[in-house]
Amino acid sequence: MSEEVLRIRNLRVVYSSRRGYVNALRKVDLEVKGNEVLGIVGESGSGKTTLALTIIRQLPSNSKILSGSILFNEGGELVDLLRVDYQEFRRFLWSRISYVPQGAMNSFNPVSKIKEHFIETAKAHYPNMGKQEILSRAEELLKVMLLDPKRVLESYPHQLSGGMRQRTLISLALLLNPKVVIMDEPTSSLDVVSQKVILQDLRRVLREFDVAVAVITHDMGVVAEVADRVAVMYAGNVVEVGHVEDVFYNPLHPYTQGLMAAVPKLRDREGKLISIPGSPPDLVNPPRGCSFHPRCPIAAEICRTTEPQPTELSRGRSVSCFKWNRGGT
Amino acid sequence: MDGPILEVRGVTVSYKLGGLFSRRILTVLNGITLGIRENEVLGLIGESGCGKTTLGKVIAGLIKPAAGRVEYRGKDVWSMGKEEFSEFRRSVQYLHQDPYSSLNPVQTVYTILSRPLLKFKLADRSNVGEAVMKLLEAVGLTPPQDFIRRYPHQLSGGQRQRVALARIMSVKPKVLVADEPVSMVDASQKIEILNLLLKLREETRTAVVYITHDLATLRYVSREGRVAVMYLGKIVELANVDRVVEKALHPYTQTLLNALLEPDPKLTRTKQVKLRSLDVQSLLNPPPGCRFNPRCPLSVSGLCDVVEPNLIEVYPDHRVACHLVKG
Repeated sequence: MSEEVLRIRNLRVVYSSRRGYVNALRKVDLEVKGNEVLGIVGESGSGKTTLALTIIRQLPSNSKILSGSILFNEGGELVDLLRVDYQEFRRFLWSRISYVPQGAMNSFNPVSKIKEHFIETAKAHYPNMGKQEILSRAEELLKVMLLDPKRVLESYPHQLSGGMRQRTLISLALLLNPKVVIMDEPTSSLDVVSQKVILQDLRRVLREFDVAVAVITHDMGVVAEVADRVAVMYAGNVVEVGHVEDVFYNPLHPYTQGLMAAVPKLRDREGKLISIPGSPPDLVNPPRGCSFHPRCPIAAEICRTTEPQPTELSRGRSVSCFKWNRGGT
Repeated sequence: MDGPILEVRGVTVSYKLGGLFSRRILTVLNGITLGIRENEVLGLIGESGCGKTTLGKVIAGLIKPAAGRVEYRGKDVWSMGKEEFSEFRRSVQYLHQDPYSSLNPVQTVYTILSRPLLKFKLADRSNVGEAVMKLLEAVGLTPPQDFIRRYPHQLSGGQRQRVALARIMSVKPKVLVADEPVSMVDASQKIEILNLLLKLREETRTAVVYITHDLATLRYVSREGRVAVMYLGKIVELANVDRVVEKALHPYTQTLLNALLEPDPKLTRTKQVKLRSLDVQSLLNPPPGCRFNPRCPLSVSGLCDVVEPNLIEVYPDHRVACHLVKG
């Protein structure tokens, strides 16, 4: 869990809208390390899905990448995913990077059996791969996800429950041995029990396969359950990065602190939850200086005029805030 | 404690599936008995398909049960006269999960809020405007002048839910059924809506039936209230929220507690869910005996898969439906 598989630098993405350019990603720097689970957490509109779509080059046509690079570690050689030819990039998808969009368990083709999804996916990349070879790999993956492989492969999507489809989808994403899997809200449409069980399994599966996972979510519980490291996004920036325990037990950015104070805890009988005042900024006209300053309880003069840069405090721990060391409680 | 203000007794709700001659019956609620006390918060908790929303709708008089009675202040709701029923409807209100479809899109906020006031004669033409302004202020939509002429599509999810809440509280209900009221609201707004609900509840002393799958949120809203844990159309455990969290007795309740993701990495990773089967059994074909037995890690064959356990009081105010729990 040391070597980087993905290194994102200086990434800026805008969407054009009738009101002007929406600054969806504003200078994002982030790494995904081999065999880790990175939790990317933020409110809706913070840019987390845009980040995923940029990595897999599926941004909508009204978007523009203003700057940046996404370096993929291809056996020691760094390939900039934003600059490789699109035909070549398509080969990267599924075999190096796979993406599980939100609610994707509902996007299986309803008239194809599950096994056809596996075969079609593999054939698209390796036309010479035999059916038996594909299916035995699929069976192995489904077994790891605690499903009955024979039954699932012969089923149509509607014959499986939501949780089973989600497990099938994770298996499908791992079919071609990718190095990175990006999952957008992987469990948001599942019931509490399936959610917990799938997340438990996800961590176990990662230890068996050499794969890194970036989990995009707004749910602090999901991050606490699966992530090794956490990146907190706000208004198109990554405002804090660190090991999961550091971020949860000692959040440094006032926004992260606000998020933590707003999550109900089962064992907390008396506490009153406090939401962060105000609402996220308009990204057509983001505020000057730190984008969080209008809502920040400790904002100072410098926060209104200058944009804070990520400051590395220790290895793998960084925060974009001028006041982080006075922000503690 | 006083007697219940609203009571469901042996309520069963079922639907016929398929065509005209089909005999397939889906029983979504099966002999539920539950009382709602004045000014309490009662949580209904369970996974989707357990019948919690259906029970909420039965309580609010929106679904007529196939069997059993719903009594409001001791009177059978479904044999009330027109006027009495209208009074019951005013007294028991329902807050929908989805604020995007619970407000009429062609009515302004002013119309939405003034109609119920006029209908129930809580205001007249001369002072209804003032009453609407006060309502908007009470739910934190300030300044109210900015909101009265808006249509629902011009409001955010959180603002819509505030309008829905204002409309409900305006008729001074005795019981409010809130069905996952914050699940479709943005994260930053959730807590504000919950705090608003708590504040209004305190001011008006309205009983709240809070439907959710999230025990942590329920505990926040409920404080000293009771919780009914539901599984496949039955109540499996009923107790004070503190007891449910600290001393849950039913294996299913324990599963729910272990499944809850907590915002604490060390704590949440020590909790494991162990079930014999991950799949919820179908309501069309409920398993014999205890409905949880095919998944239950403690299931005793010959007992749990044969005899259906009753909901019995094992401790004062703590009821459980499980063969393995003895008082």
